[in-house]
Amino acid sequence: MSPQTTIPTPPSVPSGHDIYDAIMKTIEPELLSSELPLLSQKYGQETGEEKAARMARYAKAFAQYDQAYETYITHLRQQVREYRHASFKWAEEETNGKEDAVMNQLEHQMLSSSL
Amino acid sequence: MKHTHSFFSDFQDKEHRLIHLLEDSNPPLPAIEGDGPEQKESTDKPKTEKIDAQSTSEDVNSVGETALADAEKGSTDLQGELKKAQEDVNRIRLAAALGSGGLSAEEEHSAAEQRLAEAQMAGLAEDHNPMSGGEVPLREIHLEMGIADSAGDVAVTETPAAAVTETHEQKPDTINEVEGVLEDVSETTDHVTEKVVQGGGGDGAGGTPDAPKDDDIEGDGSDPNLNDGSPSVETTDKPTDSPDTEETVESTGDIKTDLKKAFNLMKSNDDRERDKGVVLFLETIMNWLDGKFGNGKGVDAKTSTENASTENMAEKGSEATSEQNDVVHGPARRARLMNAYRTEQKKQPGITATEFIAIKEDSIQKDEKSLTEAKDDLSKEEKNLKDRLDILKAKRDKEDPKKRGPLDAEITETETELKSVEKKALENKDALDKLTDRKNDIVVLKELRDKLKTLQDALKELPKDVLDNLNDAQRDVLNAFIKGIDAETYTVNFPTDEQINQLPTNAQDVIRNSTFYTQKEVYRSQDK
Repeated sequence: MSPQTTIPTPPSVPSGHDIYDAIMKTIEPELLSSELPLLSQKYGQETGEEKAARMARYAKAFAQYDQAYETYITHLRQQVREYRHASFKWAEEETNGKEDAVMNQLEHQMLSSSL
Repeated sequence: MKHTHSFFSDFQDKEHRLIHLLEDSNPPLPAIEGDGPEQKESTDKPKTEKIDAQSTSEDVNSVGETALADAEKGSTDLQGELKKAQEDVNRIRLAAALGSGGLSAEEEHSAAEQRLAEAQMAGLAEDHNPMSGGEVPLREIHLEMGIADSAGDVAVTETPAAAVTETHEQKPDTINEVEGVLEDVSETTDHVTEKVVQGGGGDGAGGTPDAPKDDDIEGDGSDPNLNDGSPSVETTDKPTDSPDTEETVESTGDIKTDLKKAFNLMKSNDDRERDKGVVLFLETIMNWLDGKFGNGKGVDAKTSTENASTENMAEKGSEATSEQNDVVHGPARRARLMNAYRTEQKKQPGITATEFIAIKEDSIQKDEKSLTEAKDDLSKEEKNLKDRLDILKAKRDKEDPKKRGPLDAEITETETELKSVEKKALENKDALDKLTDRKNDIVVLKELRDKLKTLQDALKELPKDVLDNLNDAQRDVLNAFIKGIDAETYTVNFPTDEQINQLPTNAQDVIRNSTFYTQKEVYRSQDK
């Protein structure tokens, strides 16, 4: 019996950096990793009130980010779990197929030797 | 469909098959290497035809081991990648919060913890995570994955191909797919928000919210298990001078049936039995009013007595916000609603409970419609502004730094506009959230009205001969209840203190210990 499944391909896991930026890009571009070093310069002159408003905006952005990240990472974890399951299943079927081939060969040899 | 197929019993089957093959083979038996020194090698057969069973068995085993080891390695590597990505993301997220200055107290704590953890990790030679060690026995992995039973047998489902294909299809292998997931997140968030706003939902044209389905929605800290729909008439705090109160009577959950038991006792010529009947009558009514609203749903209001005193709530009156009353069916909410109704009664004398509910429902429906429309508009506007901002920023970045002035100004203007829209969206969301609370108000108003109506009807069935059989004090109290309840104006005119004082102490306590009684002012008729 030959295996019915193809070799499972693992899901690609983006780097932490890419994940963070991809999510944050749609929420608050100012908080992209590339933008962070520029913030102090950009807002160097802002008043306390302006800063408070900006922090409130960031807090909201981080809350949105956390929610989006949780959903995304849950999804990715699920993919990884599915991959684990699929790869073990594939290994079992692959093994069964090879075993059958060996057994058939053995059987054939025995039958031919007994003739 | 899923069936269990033993991976290891396959091996056994194959071994049996091999043994049978060997046993059934006609002599002369081919020589088998490794079967023991006593086996004689047949000289009749050429050497090349010998079957090396041991080597074959090893081949078979090594095939299984290799494939599984490969699968294990691939899976472990992936888990490692995922773990690293998660750690990196958390680190970047924290760094972003630190770098932007927008670090909450919780995040500061987390940052400190992370720094400590990193310091500890630096001292470790290797990662002890079992997923990355490769030392976990296969069986344990199988068990963990749920593909092996406790005996270590591996379960194989019937749809591996589908599972593998699906895995590939859903693989978020690019950042674009990450964004795809995020769009789903956005939709999910909207969906969740809508769900929350819808609250108990409506029942059609009338827009009457359904009663909350969740037992815990009452949220007043009472044990939901107590809400079994059967108001208990058992009293644990029996007054010491109770005529004969050891006996308890099980409630049927139906006020009319329960009251009939009291009526029967009150008909007795025996004074003690009659007194018992009066106490039972009072217990039945007070428990009914206190504990169970809406066909067995509701809460034991006594658990919220602290928040529910008339003085507290009457002072706050309709000014008391819903947030202050974190209960749906609790007495605090009832008191607030009664105050609102009384206020309306003053403005519109004669307004009935049903009319009051209809006005409120109508108002909720209108608000809900306009708020939902506003939400959609604001959401679109917000998205447009964000898109515009992205475009402007991209343009600005490409522009010659000396010529960026106009674009910067436009960006600032757009950002201000966006902030304003976001603020409006937030306010709109708050208003929508509050609608759920208002819908809960409707539930409570309806339940209270219906409850009082049921009691009102039940009391009308009190036979005249029962009242005639009572002493004056008892009759006055019962008459007060019978004549004092009007569901359509949320009225319960309790007996006066003077009347109550005429009763035996245990009967007095039944009334005075009732939460409903402690709020008697809000149920007092405005006409009398």
